[in-house]
Amino acid sequence: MDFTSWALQKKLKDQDLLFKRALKTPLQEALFSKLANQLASLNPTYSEGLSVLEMLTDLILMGHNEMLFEGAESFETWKSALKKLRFPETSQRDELLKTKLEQLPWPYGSKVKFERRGDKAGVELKLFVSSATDLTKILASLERVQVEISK
Amino acid sequence: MIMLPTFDRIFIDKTSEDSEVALRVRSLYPAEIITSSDERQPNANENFSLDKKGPMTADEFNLSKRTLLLTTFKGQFFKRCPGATQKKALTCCNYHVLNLGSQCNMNCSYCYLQSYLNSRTTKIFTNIDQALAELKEMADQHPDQPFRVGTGEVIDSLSLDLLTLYSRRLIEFINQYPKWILEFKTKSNNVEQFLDLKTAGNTVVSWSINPPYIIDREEHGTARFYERIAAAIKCRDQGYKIAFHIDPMIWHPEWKENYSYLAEELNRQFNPSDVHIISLGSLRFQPEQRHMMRERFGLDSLVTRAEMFSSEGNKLRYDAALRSEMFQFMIKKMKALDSAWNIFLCMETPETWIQSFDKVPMQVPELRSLFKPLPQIRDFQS
Repeated sequence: MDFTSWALQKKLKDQDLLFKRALKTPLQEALFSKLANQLASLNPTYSEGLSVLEMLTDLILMGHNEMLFEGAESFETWKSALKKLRFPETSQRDELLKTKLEQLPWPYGSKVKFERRGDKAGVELKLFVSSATDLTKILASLERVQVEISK
Repeated sequence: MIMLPTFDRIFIDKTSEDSEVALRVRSLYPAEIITSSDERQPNANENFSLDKKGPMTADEFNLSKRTLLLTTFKGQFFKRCPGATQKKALTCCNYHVLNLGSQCNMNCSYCYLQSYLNSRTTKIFTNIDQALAELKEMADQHPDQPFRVGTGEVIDSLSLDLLTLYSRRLIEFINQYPKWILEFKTKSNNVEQFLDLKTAGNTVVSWSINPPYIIDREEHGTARFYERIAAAIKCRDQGYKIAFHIDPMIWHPEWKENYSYLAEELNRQFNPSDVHIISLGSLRFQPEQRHMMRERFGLDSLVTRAEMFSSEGNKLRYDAALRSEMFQFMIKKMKALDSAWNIFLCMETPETWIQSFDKVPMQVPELRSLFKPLPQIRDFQS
Protein backbone atom coordinates (compact mmCIF):
# COMPACT_ATOMS: atom_id res chain seq x y z
CA MET A 1 0.00 0.00 0.00
CA ASP A 2 1.35 3.48 -0.83
CA PHE A 3 0.96 6.59 1.33
CA THR A 4 -2.00 8.00 -0.63
CA SER A 5 -3.99 4.80 -0.15
CA TRP A 6 -3.07 4.59 3.53
CA ALA A 7 -4.05 8.24 4.05
CA LEU A 8 -7.40 7.58 2.35
CA GLN A 9 -8.00 4.44 4.34
CA LYS A 10 -7.22 6.23 7.63
CA LYS A 11 -9.23 9.31 6.58
CA LEU A 12 -6.32 11.70 7.13
CA LYS A 13 -7.16 15.41 6.91
CA ASP A 14 -4.82 18.22 5.82
CA GLN A 15 -4.82 19.42 9.42
CA ASP A 16 -3.31 16.09 10.52
CA LEU A 17 -0.23 16.78 8.42
CA LEU A 18 0.43 20.35 9.64
CA PHE A 19 4.01 19.38 10.50
CA LYS A 20 4.74 18.88 6.79
CA ARG A 21 4.59 22.65 6.26
CA ALA A 22 8.06 22.91 7.76
CA LEU A 23 9.58 20.96 4.86
CA LYS A 24 10.86 23.73 2.61
CA THR A 25 12.98 22.17 -0.13
CA PRO A 26 12.07 19.72 -2.94
CA LEU A 27 14.78 17.38 -1.61
CA GLN A 28 13.18 17.31 1.84
CA GLU A 29 9.74 16.75 0.34
CA ALA A 30 10.99 13.94 -1.90
CA LEU A 31 12.64 12.17 1.04
CA PHE A 32 9.48 12.58 3.11
CA SER A 33 7.42 11.11 0.30
CA LYS A 34 9.67 8.02 0.04
CA LEU A 35 9.62 7.52 3.79
CA ALA A 36 5.84 8.00 3.93
CA ASN A 37 5.38 5.30 1.29
CA GLN A 38 7.62 2.96 3.28
CA LEU A 39 5.59 3.67 6.40
CA ALA A 40 2.30 3.05 4.61
CA SER A 41 3.57 -0.34 3.43
CA LEU A 42 3.74 -1.35 7.12
CA ASN A 43 0.08 -0.29 7.55
CA PRO A 44 0.34 1.36 10.99
CA THR A 45 -2.71 2.68 12.86
CA TYR A 46 -3.80 6.28 12.31
CA SER A 47 -2.17 7.65 15.47
CA GLU A 48 1.00 5.56 15.29
CA GLY A 49 1.43 6.46 11.64
CA LEU A 50 1.05 10.19 12.29
CA SER A 51 3.41 10.08 15.23
CA VAL A 52 6.11 8.42 13.07
CA LEU A 53 5.49 10.82 10.17
CA GLU A 54 6.03 13.76 12.50
CA MET A 55 9.20 12.20 13.86
CA LEU A 56 10.41 11.64 10.28
CA THR A 57 9.73 15.31 9.45
CA ASP A 58 11.80 16.42 12.43
CA LEU A 59 14.62 14.05 11.52
CA ILE A 60 14.66 15.26 7.89
CA LEU A 61 14.85 18.85 9.17
CA MET A 62 17.68 17.82 11.50
CA GLY A 63 19.65 16.76 8.44
CA HIS A 64 19.17 12.98 8.50
CA ASN A 65 18.75 11.37 5.08
CA GLU A 66 18.74 7.84 3.64
CA MET A 67 19.84 6.37 6.99
CA LEU A 68 16.27 7.00 8.13
CA PHE A 69 15.30 3.80 6.29
CA GLU A 70 17.39 1.63 8.63
CA GLY A 71 15.15 -0.88 10.38
CA ALA A 72 12.18 0.06 8.20
CA GLU A 73 11.21 -3.55 7.47
CA SER A 74 9.30 -3.82 10.76
CA PHE A 75 7.17 -1.03 12.24
CA GLU A 76 8.21 -1.59 15.87
CA THR A 77 11.93 -1.84 15.05
CA TRP A 78 11.75 1.24 12.86
CA LYS A 79 9.81 3.29 15.41
CA SER A 80 12.30 2.37 18.09
CA ALA A 81 15.27 3.31 15.86
CA LEU A 82 13.66 6.63 14.94
CA LYS A 83 12.92 7.44 18.60
CA LYS A 84 16.58 6.92 19.43
CA LEU A 85 17.49 9.40 16.70
CA ARG A 86 14.85 11.98 17.64
CA PHE A 87 15.25 11.64 21.42
CA PRO A 88 18.92 10.66 21.80
CA GLU A 89 19.49 12.13 25.28
CA THR A 90 16.31 10.69 26.76
CA SER A 91 16.93 7.30 25.12
CA GLN A 92 20.35 7.16 26.71
CA ARG A 93 19.05 8.24 30.12
CA ASP A 94 16.18 5.74 29.89
CA GLU A 95 18.58 2.90 29.07
CA LEU A 96 20.71 3.71 32.12
CA LEU A 97 17.65 4.05 34.34
CA LYS A 98 16.20 0.80 33.01
CA THR A 99 19.40 -1.09 33.85
CA LYS A 100 19.54 0.50 37.30
CA LEU A 101 15.89 -0.22 38.10
CA GLU A 102 15.93 -3.77 36.81
CA GLN A 103 18.85 -4.62 39.06
CA LEU A 104 17.04 -3.63 42.23
CA PRO A 105 15.97 -6.32 44.73
CA TRP A 106 12.31 -6.40 43.74
CA PRO A 107 10.08 -8.87 45.62
CA TYR A 108 10.49 -12.50 44.59
CA GLY A 109 8.04 -13.49 41.85
CA SER A 110 7.16 -9.92 40.89
CA LYS A 111 7.18 -8.75 37.29
CA VAL A 112 9.03 -5.53 36.58
CA LYS A 113 8.60 -3.67 33.31
CA PHE A 114 10.38 -0.41 32.51
CA GLU A 115 8.13 2.20 30.89
CA ARG A 116 8.09 5.81 29.80
CA ARG A 117 4.77 7.49 30.45
CA GLY A 118 4.93 11.02 29.10
CA ASP A 119 7.53 13.04 31.01
CA LYS A 120 8.13 10.31 33.58
CA ALA A 121 10.09 7.08 33.33
CA GLY A 122 9.75 4.26 35.80
CA VAL A 123 8.71 0.68 36.27
CA GLU A 124 5.38 -1.03 36.28
CA LEU A 125 5.43 -3.59 39.05
CA LYS A 126 3.10 -6.59 39.11
CA LEU A 127 2.73 -8.55 42.33
CA PHE A 128 0.68 -11.51 43.40
CA VAL A 129 -0.37 -11.61 47.05
CA SER A 130 -2.16 -14.59 48.62
CA SER A 131 -1.62 -14.07 52.32
CA ALA A 132 -0.61 -11.60 54.99
CA THR A 133 2.80 -13.32 55.13
CA ASP A 134 3.28 -12.65 51.41
CA LEU A 135 2.50 -9.02 52.03
CA THR A 136 5.01 -8.79 54.88
CA LYS A 137 7.75 -10.24 52.67
CA ILE A 138 6.86 -7.93 49.79
CA LEU A 139 6.92 -4.85 52.00
CA ALA A 140 10.32 -5.85 53.36
CA SER A 141 11.63 -6.26 49.80
CA LEU A 142 10.19 -2.92 48.76
CA GLU A 143 11.86 -1.24 51.70
CA ARG A 144 15.19 -2.60 50.44
CA VAL A 145 14.35 -1.23 46.98
CA GLN A 146 13.59 2.15 48.51
CA VAL A 147 16.95 2.18 50.29
CA GLU A 148 18.75 1.30 47.05
CA ILE A 149 16.87 3.96 45.04
CA SER A 150 17.67 6.63 47.61
CA LYS A 151 21.42 5.93 47.45
CA MET B 1 17.74 58.73 20.66
CA ILE B 2 14.59 56.61 20.96
CA MET B 3 14.80 53.22 19.21
CA LEU B 4 11.22 52.67 18.14
CA PRO B 5 9.70 49.22 17.60
CA THR B 6 9.31 48.50 13.89
CA PHE B 7 5.82 48.31 12.41
CA ASP B 8 4.83 48.10 8.73
CA ARG B 9 1.25 49.19 9.37
CA ILE B 10 -0.52 50.89 12.24
CA PHE B 11 -4.31 50.93 12.56
CA ILE B 12 -6.12 53.20 14.97
CA ASP B 13 -9.62 52.21 15.91
CA LYS B 14 -12.19 55.01 16.03
CA THR B 15 -12.67 54.42 19.76
CA SER B 16 -8.96 55.12 20.28
CA GLU B 17 -8.50 58.11 17.96
CA ASP B 18 -8.43 60.71 20.72
CA SER B 19 -6.37 58.69 23.18
CA GLU B 20 -2.99 59.87 24.43
CA VAL B 21 -1.40 56.75 22.95
CA ALA B 22 -2.82 57.47 19.49
CA LEU B 23 -1.55 61.04 19.61
CA ARG B 24 1.87 59.82 20.67
CA VAL B 25 1.98 57.09 18.00
CA ARG B 26 1.00 59.66 15.33
CA SER B 27 3.86 61.87 16.49
CA LEU B 28 6.40 59.05 16.37
CA TYR B 29 5.59 57.14 13.15
CA PRO B 30 5.25 58.32 9.53
CA ALA B 31 1.68 59.18 8.55
CA GLU B 32 1.77 56.91 5.50
CA ILE B 33 1.82 53.73 7.61
CA ILE B 34 -1.03 54.87 9.88
CA THR B 35 -4.65 54.15 8.99
CA SER B 36 -7.74 55.09 10.95
CA SER B 37 -9.94 52.05 11.10
CA ASP B 38 -13.10 50.73 12.61
CA GLU B 39 -12.99 47.09 13.61
CA ARG B 40 -16.67 46.75 12.82
CA GLN B 41 -16.25 47.97 9.27
CA PRO B 42 -13.08 46.42 7.91
CA ASN B 43 -11.83 47.97 4.71
CA ALA B 44 -12.66 45.61 1.86
CA ASN B 45 -9.46 46.61 0.08
CA GLU B 46 -7.23 45.30 2.87
CA ASN B 47 -5.60 41.98 2.17
CA PHE B 48 -6.27 40.95 5.74
CA SER B 49 -9.09 41.62 8.13
CA LEU B 50 -8.63 43.12 11.56
CA ASP B 51 -11.60 41.03 12.63
CA LYS B 52 -10.22 37.69 11.45
CA LYS B 53 -9.86 35.26 14.34
CA GLY B 54 -8.79 31.64 14.72
CA PRO B 55 -5.48 29.79 14.48
CA MET B 56 -2.85 31.66 12.50
CA THR B 57 -0.43 30.40 9.89
CA ALA B 58 3.26 31.10 10.48
CA ASP B 59 3.12 33.95 7.94
CA GLU B 60 0.08 35.49 9.62
CA PHE B 61 1.79 35.27 13.00
CA ASN B 62 4.91 36.96 11.63
CA LEU B 63 2.78 39.69 10.07
CA SER B 64 0.88 40.22 13.32
CA LYS B 65 4.16 41.28 14.95
CA ARG B 66 4.59 44.04 12.37
CA THR B 67 0.98 45.29 12.40
CA LEU B 68 -0.10 47.46 15.30
CA LEU B 69 -3.70 48.10 16.26
CA LEU B 70 -4.64 50.73 18.82
CA THR B 71 -8.02 49.84 20.20
CA THR B 72 -10.07 49.68 23.37
CA PHE B 73 -10.49 46.50 25.39
CA LYS B 74 -14.07 45.57 26.16
CA GLY B 75 -13.53 42.81 28.73
CA GLN B 76 -12.03 42.46 32.18
CA PHE B 77 -8.45 43.70 32.41
CA PHE B 78 -7.53 42.30 35.80
CA LYS B 79 -7.32 38.50 36.04
CA ARG B 80 -5.58 35.68 37.86
CA CYS B 81 -2.50 34.17 36.22
CA PRO B 82 -3.34 31.14 34.01
CA GLY B 83 -1.35 28.97 36.46
CA ALA B 84 -4.16 29.49 38.95
CA THR B 85 -6.63 27.72 36.69
CA GLN B 86 -4.56 24.53 36.95
CA LYS B 87 -4.31 24.42 40.73
CA LYS B 88 -4.81 20.66 40.81
CA ALA B 89 -1.76 20.10 38.60
CA LEU B 90 0.46 23.09 39.33
CA THR B 91 1.65 24.98 42.40
CA CYS B 92 0.58 28.58 41.87
CA CYS B 93 2.09 31.76 43.33
CA ASN B 94 -0.99 34.04 43.36
CA TYR B 95 0.12 36.16 40.45
CA HIS B 96 -2.49 38.46 38.91
CA VAL B 97 -2.31 39.90 35.45
CA LEU B 98 -3.36 43.18 33.89
CA ASN B 99 -3.34 42.83 30.11
CA LEU B 100 -2.90 46.20 28.44
CA GLY B 101 -2.29 44.74 24.99
CA SER B 102 -1.38 41.52 23.25
CA GLN B 103 1.40 40.15 21.02
CA CYS B 104 5.04 41.12 21.21
CA ASN B 105 7.43 42.94 18.90
CA MET B 106 10.24 40.57 19.88
CA ASN B 107 10.53 37.03 18.59
CA CYS B 108 11.54 34.26 21.00
CA SER B 109 11.46 30.80 19.47
CA TYR B 110 9.66 29.31 22.47
CA CYS B 111 7.11 32.11 22.94
CA TYR B 112 3.79 30.73 24.13
CA LEU B 113 1.90 33.45 22.27
CA GLN B 114 2.45 31.30 19.17
CA SER B 115 -0.30 28.99 20.39
CA TYR B 116 -2.24 31.51 22.45
CA LEU B 117 -3.11 34.42 20.20
CA ASN B 118 -5.67 34.39 17.44
CA SER B 119 -5.64 38.05 16.40
CA ARG B 120 -3.72 39.22 13.33
CA THR B 121 -2.33 42.33 15.00
CA THR B 122 -0.25 43.53 17.89
CA LYS B 123 -2.78 45.26 20.09
CA ILE B 124 -2.37 48.12 22.48
CA PHE B 125 -5.45 48.88 24.54
CA THR B 126 -5.82 52.61 24.88
CA ASN B 127 -8.44 52.59 27.68
CA ILE B 128 -5.92 52.35 30.51
CA ASP B 129 -8.21 54.53 32.64
CA GLN B 130 -10.70 51.67 32.71
CA ALA B 131 -7.96 49.21 33.65
CA LEU B 132 -6.86 51.46 36.50
CA ALA B 133 -10.46 51.85 37.65
CA GLU B 134 -10.77 48.06 37.88
CA LEU B 135 -7.53 47.86 39.78
CA LYS B 136 -8.60 50.66 42.12
CA GLU B 137 -11.89 48.94 42.93
CA MET B 138 -10.03 45.76 43.93
CA ALA B 139 -7.23 47.61 45.72
CA ASP B 140 -9.68 49.70 47.73
CA GLN B 141 -11.43 46.51 48.84
CA HIS B 142 -8.18 44.75 49.82
CA PRO B 143 -5.54 47.42 50.40
CA ASP B 144 -3.71 45.28 52.97
CA GLN B 145 -3.52 42.05 50.98
CA PRO B 146 -0.22 41.45 49.17
CA PHE B 147 -1.62 41.22 45.64
CA ARG B 148 1.01 40.91 42.91
CA VAL B 149 -0.04 42.42 39.60
CA GLY B 150 1.95 41.80 36.45
CA THR B 151 1.51 43.41 33.05
CA GLY B 152 3.70 41.04 31.06
CA GLU B 153 1.47 38.05 30.42
CA VAL B 154 0.42 38.44 26.78
CA ILE B 155 2.59 41.43 25.93
CA ASP B 156 6.04 42.45 27.13
CA SER B 157 5.57 45.01 29.91
CA LEU B 158 8.10 47.49 28.58
CA SER B 159 9.06 46.74 24.98
CA LEU B 160 6.23 48.97 23.66
CA ASP B 161 6.25 51.30 26.64
CA LEU B 162 7.99 53.99 24.59
CA LEU B 163 4.70 54.26 22.67
CA THR B 164 2.33 54.09 25.63
CA LEU B 165 4.27 55.33 28.67
CA TYR B 166 1.87 53.16 30.67
CA SER B 167 4.68 52.35 33.09
CA ARG B 168 4.39 55.88 34.44
CA ARG B 169 0.63 55.66 35.00
CA LEU B 170 0.98 52.28 36.69
CA ILE B 171 3.83 53.28 38.99
CA GLU B 172 1.96 56.40 40.11
CA PHE B 173 -1.12 54.28 40.74
CA ILE B 174 0.57 51.49 42.69
CA ASN B 175 2.47 53.99 44.85
CA GLN B 176 -0.89 54.64 46.54
CA TYR B 177 -1.17 50.98 47.64
CA PRO B 178 2.13 50.10 49.34
CA LYS B 179 1.05 46.53 50.18
CA TRP B 180 0.33 45.76 46.54
CA ILE B 181 3.14 44.87 44.19
CA LEU B 182 3.31 45.88 40.54
CA GLU B 183 5.60 43.78 38.38
CA PHE B 184 6.87 44.72 34.95
CA LYS B 185 8.23 41.69 33.12
CA THR B 186 10.41 42.37 30.12
CA LYS B 187 13.16 41.22 27.79
CA SER B 188 13.82 44.81 26.71
CA ASN B 189 16.06 47.46 28.24
CA ASN B 190 13.46 50.25 28.05
CA VAL B 191 13.52 51.76 31.52
CA GLU B 192 14.62 55.38 31.05
CA GLN B 193 11.04 56.54 30.48
CA PHE B 194 10.04 56.01 34.13
CA LEU B 195 13.28 56.26 36.09
CA ASP B 196 12.57 59.86 37.13
CA LEU B 197 9.47 58.70 39.04
CA LYS B 198 9.83 57.96 42.72
CA THR B 199 8.71 54.48 43.73
CA ALA B 200 7.04 53.56 46.98
CA GLY B 201 9.19 50.44 46.88
CA ASN B 202 6.40 48.26 45.53
CA THR B 203 7.20 48.32 41.81
CA VAL B 204 9.33 45.40 40.71
CA VAL B 205 11.03 45.59 37.35
CA SER B 206 11.78 42.06 36.31
CA TRP B 207 13.70 40.49 33.50
CA SER B 208 13.18 37.18 31.89
CA ILE B 209 16.79 36.15 31.55
CA ASN B 210 18.87 33.33 30.18
CA PRO B 211 22.58 32.81 29.58
CA PRO B 212 23.95 34.84 26.62
CA TYR B 213 24.28 31.56 24.70
CA ILE B 214 20.49 31.07 24.81
CA ILE B 215 19.58 34.74 24.33
CA ASP B 216 21.70 34.91 21.19
CA ARG B 217 20.16 31.77 19.70
CA GLU B 218 16.56 31.77 20.84
CA GLU B 219 15.47 35.26 21.94
CA HIS B 220 15.48 37.18 18.66
CA GLY B 221 15.00 40.93 18.73
CA THR B 222 15.34 41.17 22.51
CA ALA B 223 17.85 43.18 24.52
CA ARG B 224 21.10 41.24 24.84
CA PHE B 225 22.23 39.82 28.19
CA TYR B 226 24.37 42.76 29.30
CA GLU B 227 21.81 45.30 28.06
CA ARG B 228 19.27 43.72 30.39
CA ILE B 229 21.78 43.67 33.25
CA ALA B 230 22.62 47.35 32.65
CA ALA B 231 18.91 48.27 32.66
CA ALA B 232 18.41 46.31 35.90
CA ILE B 233 21.32 48.16 37.52
CA LYS B 234 19.76 51.50 36.54
CA CYS B 235 16.45 50.48 38.13
CA ARG B 236 18.11 49.24 41.29
CA ASP B 237 20.09 52.46 41.58
CA GLN B 238 16.82 54.45 41.41
CA GLY B 239 15.31 52.44 44.26
CA TYR B 240 13.22 50.04 42.20
CA LYS B 241 13.01 46.43 43.26
CA ILE B 242 14.22 44.07 40.59
CA ALA B 243 13.59 40.40 39.86
CA PHE B 244 14.81 37.79 37.43
CA HIS B 245 12.90 34.98 35.81
CA ILE B 246 15.31 32.33 34.61
CA ASP B 247 12.58 30.96 32.47
CA PRO B 248 12.54 28.94 30.32
CA MET B 249 15.67 27.07 31.24
CA ILE B 250 16.68 25.36 28.03
CA TRP B 251 18.65 22.13 27.97
CA HIS B 252 21.68 21.99 25.70
CA PRO B 253 24.91 20.01 25.98
CA GLU B 254 26.73 22.87 27.77
CA TRP B 255 23.79 23.84 29.97
CA LYS B 256 25.65 23.45 33.25
CA GLU B 257 28.49 25.76 32.19
CA ASN B 258 26.13 28.36 30.71
CA TYR B 259 23.69 28.44 33.61
CA SER B 260 26.63 28.57 36.05
CA TYR B 261 27.84 31.62 34.17
CA LEU B 262 24.40 33.20 34.47
CA ALA B 263 24.27 32.53 38.22
CA GLU B 264 27.77 33.92 38.72
CA GLU B 265 27.00 37.06 36.72
CA LEU B 266 23.79 37.73 38.65
CA ASN B 267 25.68 37.20 41.90
CA ARG B 268 28.52 39.46 40.72
CA GLN B 269 26.25 42.32 39.64
CA PHE B 270 23.62 42.20 42.39
CA ASN B 271 23.13 41.43 46.06
CA PRO B 272 20.26 39.20 47.16
CA SER B 273 18.81 42.24 48.95
CA ASP B 274 18.55 44.04 45.55
CA VAL B 275 16.57 41.23 44.00
CA HIS B 276 12.98 40.68 45.07
CA ILE B 277 12.84 37.13 43.69
CA ILE B 278 14.44 34.77 41.21
CA SER B 279 12.02 32.36 39.61
CA LEU B 280 12.94 29.26 37.67
CA GLY B 281 10.94 27.55 34.96
CA SER B 282 11.82 25.02 32.34
CA LEU B 283 10.87 24.96 28.67
CA ARG B 284 7.21 24.10 28.22
CA PHE B 285 4.56 24.70 25.59
CA GLN B 286 1.16 23.55 24.43
CA PRO B 287 1.38 20.53 22.10
CA GLU B 288 -0.23 22.40 19.17
CA GLN B 289 2.49 25.08 19.33
CA ARG B 290 5.14 22.70 18.01
CA HIS B 291 3.87 23.01 14.43
CA MET B 292 4.11 26.81 14.41
CA MET B 293 7.59 26.73 15.98
CA ARG B 294 8.80 24.09 13.54
CA GLU B 295 7.52 26.11 10.59
CA ARG B 296 8.95 29.40 11.87
CA PHE B 297 12.32 28.25 13.22
CA GLY B 298 13.04 24.92 11.54
CA LEU B 299 14.96 22.36 13.59
CA ASP B 300 18.05 24.52 14.10
CA SER B 301 16.63 25.84 17.34
CA LEU B 302 17.36 24.25 20.71
CA VAL B 303 13.65 24.64 21.37
CA THR B 304 12.29 22.82 18.34
CA ARG B 305 14.95 20.13 18.72
CA ALA B 306 14.14 19.69 22.39
CA GLU B 307 13.10 16.27 23.65
CA MET B 308 9.66 17.04 25.01
CA PHE B 309 7.00 14.79 26.53
CA SER B 310 3.41 15.26 27.55
CA SER B 311 3.05 16.17 31.21
CA GLU B 312 0.44 17.12 33.77
CA GLY B 313 -1.60 20.07 32.57
CA ASN B 314 -1.20 18.73 29.01
CA LYS B 315 1.87 20.83 28.22
CA LEU B 316 4.96 19.36 26.64
CA ARG B 317 7.95 19.46 29.00
CA TYR B 318 11.37 17.91 29.43
CA ASP B 319 11.60 14.58 31.22
CA ALA B 320 10.58 15.16 34.85
CA ALA B 321 13.89 13.89 36.26
CA LEU B 322 15.85 16.19 33.94
CA ARG B 323 13.72 19.18 35.00
CA SER B 324 14.42 18.45 38.63
CA GLU B 325 18.12 18.07 37.88
CA MET B 326 18.18 21.45 36.14
CA PHE B 327 16.29 23.20 38.95
CA GLN B 328 18.37 21.56 41.67
CA PHE B 329 21.55 22.53 39.86
CA MET B 330 20.51 26.18 39.64
CA ILE B 331 19.19 26.37 43.21
CA LYS B 332 22.37 24.75 44.56
CA LYS B 333 24.54 27.04 42.46
CA MET B 334 22.79 30.24 43.56
CA LYS B 335 22.63 29.20 47.20
CA ALA B 336 26.33 28.26 47.15
CA LEU B 337 27.13 31.75 45.87
CA ASP B 338 24.93 33.32 48.55
CA SER B 339 22.41 31.48 50.68
CA ALA B 340 20.21 34.60 50.83
CA TRP B 341 19.03 34.33 47.21
CA ASN B 342 15.24 33.93 47.15
CA ILE B 343 14.33 31.37 44.50
CA PHE B 344 11.08 29.71 43.49
CA LEU B 345 9.69 27.57 40.68
CA CYS B 346 7.17 28.88 38.18
CA MET B 347 4.27 26.72 36.92
CA GLU B 348 5.63 23.47 38.29
CA THR B 349 4.03 20.44 39.85
CA PRO B 350 4.18 19.75 43.61
CA GLU B 351 6.34 16.66 42.81
CA THR B 352 8.97 18.82 41.12
CA TRP B 353 8.91 21.26 44.04
CA ILE B 354 9.56 18.44 46.47
CA GLN B 355 12.33 16.97 44.32
CA SER B 356 13.97 20.39 43.95
CA PHE B 357 13.50 21.89 47.43
CA ASP B 358 12.39 18.88 49.53
CA LYS B 359 9.39 21.08 50.33
CA VAL B 360 6.26 22.62 48.87
CA PRO B 361 6.30 26.46 48.89
CA MET B 362 4.14 26.86 51.99
CA GLN B 363 6.92 25.06 53.89
CA VAL B 364 9.58 27.56 52.72
CA PRO B 365 9.33 30.53 55.13
CA GLU B 366 10.58 33.17 52.66
CA LEU B 367 8.10 32.00 49.99
CA ARG B 368 5.05 31.45 52.17
CA SER B 369 3.64 34.94 51.68
CA LEU B 370 3.77 34.56 47.88
CA PHE B 371 1.77 31.35 47.88
CA LYS B 372 -0.73 32.12 50.65
CA PRO B 373 -4.26 32.06 49.20
CA LEU B 374 -5.73 35.51 48.54
CA PRO B 375 -9.35 36.65 48.19
CA GLN B 376 -10.77 35.78 44.78
CA ILE B 377 -11.13 38.68 42.40
CA ARG B 378 -14.68 39.16 41.39
CA ASP B 379 -15.78 39.02 37.79
CA PHE B 380 -16.25 42.61 36.68
CA GLN B 381 -18.45 41.35 33.85
CA SER B 382 -21.07 39.91 36.19
